[in-house]
Amino acid sequence: MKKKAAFIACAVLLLVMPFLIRDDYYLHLIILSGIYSVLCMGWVLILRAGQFSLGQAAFLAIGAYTSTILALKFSLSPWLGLVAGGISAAMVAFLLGWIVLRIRGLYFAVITLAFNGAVQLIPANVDYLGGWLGLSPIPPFTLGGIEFIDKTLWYYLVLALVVLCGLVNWRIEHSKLGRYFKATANESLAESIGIDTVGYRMLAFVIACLFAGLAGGILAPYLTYVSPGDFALSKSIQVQIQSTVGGTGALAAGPITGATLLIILGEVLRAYAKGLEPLLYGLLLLAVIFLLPDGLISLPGIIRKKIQNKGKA
Amino acid sequence: MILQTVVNGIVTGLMYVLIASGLTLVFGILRIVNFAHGQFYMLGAFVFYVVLDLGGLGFPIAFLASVIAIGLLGLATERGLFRPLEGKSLIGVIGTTLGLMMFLEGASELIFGPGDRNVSNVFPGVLRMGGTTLPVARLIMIGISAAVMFALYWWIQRTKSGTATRAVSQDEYAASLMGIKKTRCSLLVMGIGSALAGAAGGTLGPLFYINPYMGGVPLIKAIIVITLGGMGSIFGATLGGLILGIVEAFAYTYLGGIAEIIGFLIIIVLLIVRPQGLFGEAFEFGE
Amino acid sequence: MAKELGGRPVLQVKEVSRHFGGLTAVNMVSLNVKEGEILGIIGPNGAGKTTLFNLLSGFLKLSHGEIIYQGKSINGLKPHAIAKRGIIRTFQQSNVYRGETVSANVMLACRLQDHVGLWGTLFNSPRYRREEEDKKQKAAKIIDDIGLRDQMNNLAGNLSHGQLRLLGIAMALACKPKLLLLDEPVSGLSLEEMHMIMGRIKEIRERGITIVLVEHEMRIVMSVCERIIVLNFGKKTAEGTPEQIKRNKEVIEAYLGEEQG
Repeated sequence: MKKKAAFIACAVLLLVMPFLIRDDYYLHLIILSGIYSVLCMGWVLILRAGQFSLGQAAFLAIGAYTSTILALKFSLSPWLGLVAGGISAAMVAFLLGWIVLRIRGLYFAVITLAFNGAVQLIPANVDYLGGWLGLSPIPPFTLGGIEFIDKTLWYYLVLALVVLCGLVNWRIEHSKLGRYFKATANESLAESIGIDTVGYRMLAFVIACLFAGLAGGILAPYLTYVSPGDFALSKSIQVQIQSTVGGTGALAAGPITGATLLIILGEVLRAYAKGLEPLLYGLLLLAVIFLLPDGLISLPGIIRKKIQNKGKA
Repeated sequence: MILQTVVNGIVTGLMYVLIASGLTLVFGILRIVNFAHGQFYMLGAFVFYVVLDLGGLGFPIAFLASVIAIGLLGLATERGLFRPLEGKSLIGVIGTTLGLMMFLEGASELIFGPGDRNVSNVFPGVLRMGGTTLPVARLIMIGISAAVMFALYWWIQRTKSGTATRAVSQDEYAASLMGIKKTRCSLLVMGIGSALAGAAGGTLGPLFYINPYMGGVPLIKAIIVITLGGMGSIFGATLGGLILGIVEAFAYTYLGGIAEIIGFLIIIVLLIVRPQGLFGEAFEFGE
Repeated sequence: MAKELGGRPVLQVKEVSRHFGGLTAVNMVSLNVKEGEILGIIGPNGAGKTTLFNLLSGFLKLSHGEIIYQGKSINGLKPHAIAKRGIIRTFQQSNVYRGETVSANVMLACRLQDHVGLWGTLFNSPRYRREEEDKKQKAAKIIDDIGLRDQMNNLAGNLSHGQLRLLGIAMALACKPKLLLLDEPVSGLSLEEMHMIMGRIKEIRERGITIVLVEHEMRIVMSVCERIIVLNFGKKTAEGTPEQIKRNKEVIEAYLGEEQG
């Protein structure tokens, strides 16, 4: 009963947020948190299926550039660009996964790292794709004749994506699919009971990169520009850190928490000194790994247990 | 033109070898890719700068300082971060060095500021031979790189501690039966590997300008080199670095900016087709 | 009573070999497994028994030869595909998900009975919920039959050795095997646990499932298997009934140092 009430309260809060927070700057931060939340939810999904990706920013780029090229060179609506961005990211993920998903552990992580580096360099060195300066201005979404200029509209669009991905992740976590993903951790056992380990890893990877591609398809029109600098390896590392700090045990709540917290904190710190943001990321990651391995979302549970134990003593 | 390209390639290649040597050693023995290796290199350069330009203490002391300081940093890292996490999950192992990487870069920016700094060139002058030019400073760098690689090779093949370290990396249990403790080897290796990064920073930093962000690219280059040469093979890393340097030199001359993508493609193709590199030994990352 | 089906081979292993660099772990081994029988594979340590199992279940690729199951070649199939066709193997030292409950483990093993796909799962369709409930009940029945009912909600990591073996067998049964490959099902168990496991194995055979087992425990092998194959240095050195094998001179020699008394 309590949980349902809290849930409804959250939902209402999320729906009216733009009217509570009228400042464009803070809305911008929340929108960014939403984009990163989607990336993190993808990362955590890949982790659940047993792989460690350092390349999610590459798929963000694929989504962003696909939708941008379709808009600027082919005059297609950003809505189509959004769908195309997601699909192309998923397709690239499928092709890449076909070749590399059978490789495990650190090697896979390094491959995704290299993939990220390579993908970033492609638009940077191709004039048609804008080079290092990128492409702009990108036309915004329009719905019912209204152009998405007001940040409120962007907020709802991003919220819709976050809810969609969150629902998918949540469903996966509480269904047999999530259990099969988890089962791939013991590869020989899983295979012996008929679980196609590579197949499930592929599914997780494609879904995660679909998320990233969709995020890219929204990010590009939102920023009104797209440039290679936004898709560096450091972004992929940020995604990993945000997810780990938030907590990898819950496929929706953890990533959303981590992304939101770190984006907002990072922004606040950056106002004081640019070096504070990477410092924060580094410190928090190390702190979580050593002190709170299940991430921040495990904190309420731990505190509750401590209180219960104190009560018993 | 071709000769100059080759010379440039060899020079660059040896830089890569120097940078990658520490990473290769640590990975070969500890099976950990220290993603903070680039920041160790950066800090080595800064220590060198501080001792040379701010302290006015001359090249040898500055170089020694960078080697020792970063070596100590490596020991602290092994003790404080790697040891407690021994054998734990992949997130722990990869995440720790990523966290350290971010932390050191941020800390460095806070301490030294984001701007570029120029380190004074202790070896001015340029050598001209047969139509090619080579700054003296780079010649010194070549000398130091070669000396370091020889020393490293000699240590691991000829000394007691080096042989013990190799034994531990191949078969921990058998080595322990002979009284070789893994913890001491891990500490030693991390110290030496980090000291190598510091040496690289002290040697190469002065060739360009230094800033807190200069660790990113060297890390990538080091990863490419050890993928090419075989993770854990010092001979392989040497060859791998030279190959990368020469290939890149030619690629840049004839292809321009897109040449940078070659390094990444090398990593991807090699890890798929021959993960042990050209000279290393393959092993599984089971979970 | 076990089905007597005119000895039609359910599995044909033809000149199967596996090399590891210079080492030949399995060397031109040929054998047939008759439907409904209990076949034992014995041999000294390092004889290639587990390697053979790994080849039969798809965990290792063949260097040479062919494996024919129910008339079709299964060379090169991935382990999960072979499991789908009905060949299920267990592992030495029980391989289970220690962090999951007994019930969860067996439910996972019901994967091969799944009909509902991605969309049904994502949308939590009535079909999906029915199938999950079905699997839960099937798992409960298997756990009950095997004798682990009171451990149903206990974490697998808390089970005793014997119970772990039972769980491993329960999971294998959940896959609805036609051919069951048991890798040292009783090694490391107490005498009492051994007899319990062997009792279960006989019950399984009563249901018409063909069983091949690798074992070191001679008493068990001799008492339960109808036919025995002997491997040594990767080669098949003897084949026959327990009586024949007991009297085989080479086998006695090979085992002189291995006798467990």
